[in-house]
Amino acid sequence: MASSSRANSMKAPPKDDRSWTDHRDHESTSKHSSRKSKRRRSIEFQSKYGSRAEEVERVARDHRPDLEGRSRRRSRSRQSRGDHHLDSRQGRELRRESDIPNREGHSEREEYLYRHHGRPSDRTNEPEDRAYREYYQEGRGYKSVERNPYPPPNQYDEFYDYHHRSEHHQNYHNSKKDLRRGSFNHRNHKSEHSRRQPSPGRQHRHQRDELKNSQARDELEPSNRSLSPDTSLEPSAADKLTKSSRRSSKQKSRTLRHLKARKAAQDFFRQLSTSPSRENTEPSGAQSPSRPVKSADDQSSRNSSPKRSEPESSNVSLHEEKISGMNTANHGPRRGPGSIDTRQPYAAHPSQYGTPTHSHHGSPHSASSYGRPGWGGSYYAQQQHSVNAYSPHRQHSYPGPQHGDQHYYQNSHYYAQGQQGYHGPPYHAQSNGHGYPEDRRFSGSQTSPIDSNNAIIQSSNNNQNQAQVSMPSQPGSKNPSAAADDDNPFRPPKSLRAEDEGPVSITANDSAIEQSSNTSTTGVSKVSFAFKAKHAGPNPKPVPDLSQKMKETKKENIMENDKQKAPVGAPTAPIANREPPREPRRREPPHEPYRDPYGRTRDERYYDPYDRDRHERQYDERYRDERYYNQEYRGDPRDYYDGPRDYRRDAREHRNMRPGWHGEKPDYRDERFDERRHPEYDRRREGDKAPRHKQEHKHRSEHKPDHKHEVIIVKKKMTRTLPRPKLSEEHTQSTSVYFRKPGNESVIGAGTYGKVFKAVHVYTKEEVALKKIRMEGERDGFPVTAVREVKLLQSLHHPNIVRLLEVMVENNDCYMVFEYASHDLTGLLFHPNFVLTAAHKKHLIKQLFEGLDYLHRRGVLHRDIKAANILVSNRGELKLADFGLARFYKKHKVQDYTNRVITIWYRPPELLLGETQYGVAVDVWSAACVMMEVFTKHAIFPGDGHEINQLEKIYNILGTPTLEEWPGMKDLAWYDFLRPTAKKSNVFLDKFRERLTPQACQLMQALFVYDPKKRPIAEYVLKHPYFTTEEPAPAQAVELYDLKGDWHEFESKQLRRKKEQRDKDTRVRQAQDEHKRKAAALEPQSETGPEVKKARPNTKMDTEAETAAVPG
Amino acid sequence: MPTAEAEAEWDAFEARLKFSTLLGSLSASVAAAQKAARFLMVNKHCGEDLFEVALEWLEKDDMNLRIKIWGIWEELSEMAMREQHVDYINRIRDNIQHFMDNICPPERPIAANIRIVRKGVERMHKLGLFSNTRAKELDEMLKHRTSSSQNPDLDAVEAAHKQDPGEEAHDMKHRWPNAFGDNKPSGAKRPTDKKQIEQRIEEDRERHKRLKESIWQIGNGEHEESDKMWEECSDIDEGDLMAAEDETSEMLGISIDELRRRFPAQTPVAAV
Repeated sequence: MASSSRANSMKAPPKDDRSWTDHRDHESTSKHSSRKSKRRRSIEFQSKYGSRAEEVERVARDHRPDLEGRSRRRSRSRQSRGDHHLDSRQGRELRRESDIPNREGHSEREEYLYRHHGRPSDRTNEPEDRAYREYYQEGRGYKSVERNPYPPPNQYDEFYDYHHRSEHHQNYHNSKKDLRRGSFNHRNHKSEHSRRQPSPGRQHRHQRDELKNSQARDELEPSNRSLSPDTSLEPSAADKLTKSSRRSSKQKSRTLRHLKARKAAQDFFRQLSTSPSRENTEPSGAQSPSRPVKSADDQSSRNSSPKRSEPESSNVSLHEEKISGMNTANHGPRRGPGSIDTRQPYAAHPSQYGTPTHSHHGSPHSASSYGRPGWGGSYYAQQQHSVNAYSPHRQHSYPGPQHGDQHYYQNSHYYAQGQQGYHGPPYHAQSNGHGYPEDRRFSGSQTSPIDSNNAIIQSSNNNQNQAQVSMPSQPGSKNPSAAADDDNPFRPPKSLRAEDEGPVSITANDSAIEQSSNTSTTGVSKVSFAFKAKHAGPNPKPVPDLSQKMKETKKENIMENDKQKAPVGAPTAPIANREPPREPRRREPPHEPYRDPYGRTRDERYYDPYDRDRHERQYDERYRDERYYNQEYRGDPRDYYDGPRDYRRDAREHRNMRPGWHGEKPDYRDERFDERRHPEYDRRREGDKAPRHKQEHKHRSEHKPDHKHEVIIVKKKMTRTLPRPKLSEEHTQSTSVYFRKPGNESVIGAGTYGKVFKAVHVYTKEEVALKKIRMEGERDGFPVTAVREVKLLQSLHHPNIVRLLEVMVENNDCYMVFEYASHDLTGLLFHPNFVLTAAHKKHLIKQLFEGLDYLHRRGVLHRDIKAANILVSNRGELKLADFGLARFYKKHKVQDYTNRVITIWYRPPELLLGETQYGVAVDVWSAACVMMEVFTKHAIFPGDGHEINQLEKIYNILGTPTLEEWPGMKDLAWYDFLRPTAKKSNVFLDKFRERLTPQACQLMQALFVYDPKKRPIAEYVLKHPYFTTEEPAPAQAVELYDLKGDWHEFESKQLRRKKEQRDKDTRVRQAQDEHKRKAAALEPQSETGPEVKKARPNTKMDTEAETAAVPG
Repeated sequence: MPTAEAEAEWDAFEARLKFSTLLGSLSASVAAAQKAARFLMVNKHCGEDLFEVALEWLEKDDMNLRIKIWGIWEELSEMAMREQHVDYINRIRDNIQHFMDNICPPERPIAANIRIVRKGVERMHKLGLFSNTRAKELDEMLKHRTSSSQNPDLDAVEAAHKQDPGEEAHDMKHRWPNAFGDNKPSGAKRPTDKKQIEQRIEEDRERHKRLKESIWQIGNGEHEESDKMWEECSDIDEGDLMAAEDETSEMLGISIDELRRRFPAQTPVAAV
């Protein structure tokens, strides 16, 4: 049985499946949430805090009436400055909004002040303010729509004060990150705490004394307390519960079992408590493989032996495990079998489970669904338990052990909900089962109690291989999850949920206890293992696991040492409340407060004034309370990575989040995803971890003399402000974040659409091209072409497509902000002192067709390909630009499009003859024209701007088309007017043979085919021997990098104009000279004459000549 | 002509003058045709006179104008059918052959014009202007002209060219299909032709807009919209998959190559 189930789980969908879907879900969730931020926010509050939340809000507002007003004022002023920057990607934009410091400058500063200089006691208003602020921090993250994280440079100073202090910085960032990560847990957690721990005011006072940083919490508390005890959702859930007959029938027996199990679990926990770190260790280790492996033996032994029959073994050397952290390799296998095992017992001893058939929980399928966190899991879950109507995300997001038992199920369910994809199974699954080197994302969640509990459960399962006793939930316990769950966009309606949630009220701890029931013999009535609440706090950062461990150690020590001391000030959920809106990675189990074996809540334990180690603990607890402000935290390189990363990741700067099409490395600064699994990060982190590791050891040794001792030097870290970056003078003066030189100096292009400027981001120094959208003469408002262009460009990501960084409205002008390219093709071809080699040309052309191929595959017609619209970066990357005429086309359906597209020199014959049902071939023709231009420097068909003449030009070189080679020609609208009247032969070869390589010649002839149906598509063009075999091989024009100055058509035109003027002058002069000479000495002819003529641009000559030759 | 004038009723003489001006400044847009048609409808008391004017203008040696006037007939027939104005309906019925001959002269058929007229006739038929047999008859007639117009005279040109290579330029001028007028010798008309061709091209584009308008039109049928969508929605194809890949890679922050490596099963994009 075991083997078969194991095989099953092994067969579970490949990791790819899971992560793929999960990422998607997760992403979509986050997008979703950010988009609907406002609405959701209110819903969240309502559902989470019930009416209380509203009241709190109201109270806070009453106390702090000016807060809102201030923020409003501020946003208004921003508007008036016209500094809105619309990110080009909407989703990202909104996400970034949450990155943006969402506190008002004023309060920000205040916070900063008292955080670092002590809180002024006279600020009576402050508490409410802060409580309010913190309480709603998250909400405001969404609410305050501040698009420009940077101030206009002339307000840089002010800005700097708030934003360049790294503490603030990280504070923002962390909290924001939390926001991004699906923020429900934390708040829920907090509210829970406050709800179930209406601690006396005395305690609060005490706490205030103890911890300045927890003031907000304190302030918040009263308001919470003043409100009616919530449980707003609980009744309904309970209602549902009673109504659910299936459930109630089993209730009693389960209750009994539950109690029994509880005792057992308590006992187990007792045991564990002697080595408190264990719980943490396991989960965290499992999830973050990156932790240094200290006791590999221990770990491996554990892993290798899924059935640890000895409970002691699990207790043994917990510290070591914790400290050591586990590497993925070990964990991968462990989890897999673990899940199998858990399932197996169920199958083997269904009788053990009180309610195997009970709703969803009992079904083996559900268990298996856990085993396979991927698609399958959710699928099954849905199938089997349609009653629950869980969204697949949630369900499969629970990667952990499978518990046939209802509570576990609930627990996991709960967990999954809390995870909402972010901390969810995908990661677990990957980090565990699939051996991704590490998932840093977990770092935060590792600390989460739930995880640890689950892990414990798992381990216990492994050990005993026994069924867990299911217990009914405690009837009185509230189920905050029900409320909190409303946050989850995927959450099924409450009516569907209720069944699950009613009984769910068992905390993760409970379940853990239950799990451990086998090992336990004696039990305190309530044993709580408080490893979670603190972690449940917003602990998004990678490090927390370690810190947590330390904390755990301390805690446990404290417990032992101060058993009998009265719990001092147990402010509810000290940490969680600290930063209320920050989102915890995990939701804390919704149930009762945890009690440690000594009956104290975790928080009580924390604030024991008699604890000698208090201060040290506080030090340790920086991750809970001060981790965002503590310099030490800042000092951690990993955190560095996180903090500034977010900072950089702001609307202003545009990293290439998108990896290159051909595998270039994307900018990995966005932390949300897999990058942490990347081995490089892994390596890096391991190095980083060393110091922390040591610290941990130290603590452990202090309190646990029986463990290995290590002498550690704890480094004190100094707070040092970063050297303040200096802006150059002109940047300081700039009113825009994008500084451009005044006047026409910065103009790099002009057209019907408007002007293009070169500009530089004053903070990032990134060069950009600003395309000012011309609004003059637009009767219908914002030009639809610009909208179309923006929309198209947003969906196109390719190295050979120009990147739209953002769209910006400034001073009532709309700008599209593009990546900057130093050259365009026209300019480059006419560059005064750079000559492209054949290999360069080939590479450029190849890129051109690659970009085109991408466009066409994506169903986009560019419809304005010409040399001037093709940019070349100073690294020789070619970029298609100007999508003003581009459009999506229907690949599988003939549709009419306007034929007034494509600059006429590059317009294919079918368009010139009136075709309206065209396709990608039009772009290929244009590209062929560009290609010729690359070789010859001149447009091949430079007509006079009218269709007739343009066709003549084409006929003159390619000969007249015959109906045999282009049967569709006669059906074209203007064939009767424009068809060739005299047969001409193809002179292409004669004209260009010398200038092209043979293969290029052949390719060109293939491209310049009249019948669009016979014209090769870009994909085939790229397979032509010209690119694949013929020498020289394409070579990127990296030499451009050394080239000074930019060269666009604009510049080259200017130069040409000058040159023409000069030529004209010389001509005139020469003519005069000649005239003089003739008059004087009858000399035959000046030698310079013809040369001068040659110097004139070919295009013009041709144009004139051809125009003259046109009949009529 | 200001709209007010176009809308107002005039006495016969004034209406005649105004209508002439209207036709003289007619553009190819639908709006212009509708305006003229509305003028005819408003001044139906002197419909006979106005119709005469229109016929006169139709005789003029300007193919572009003829096509534009044909646009007026289309609009007029629709308005007349809507208001059941028997007089105009009958006039259009009676003169349809005449219109057609003017726009698509059998001796010099122009495929583009024939296409326009056929479309117009079909539209009128849908309005109920013609009986089925009549419509079929007209369509046959036009079809015949179309087919006859499909013999390119390039070979003839070539033959002539071979016979007299030195005369190429002259020959070309002569052979240029004289689509814009019948009375004057073609050689003399070339410069105007060029302009007219360009004008025609522009006007065709203008007319094409109307064609595109109907792309979005949806009937009243219950499922018509969904049917249309269903029909237009293609199977999932490479482009869709690429878009998905693209987005996923962005979401995951990994390159597309990396994505493909990691999720081989999920990225069934055909190997390039």
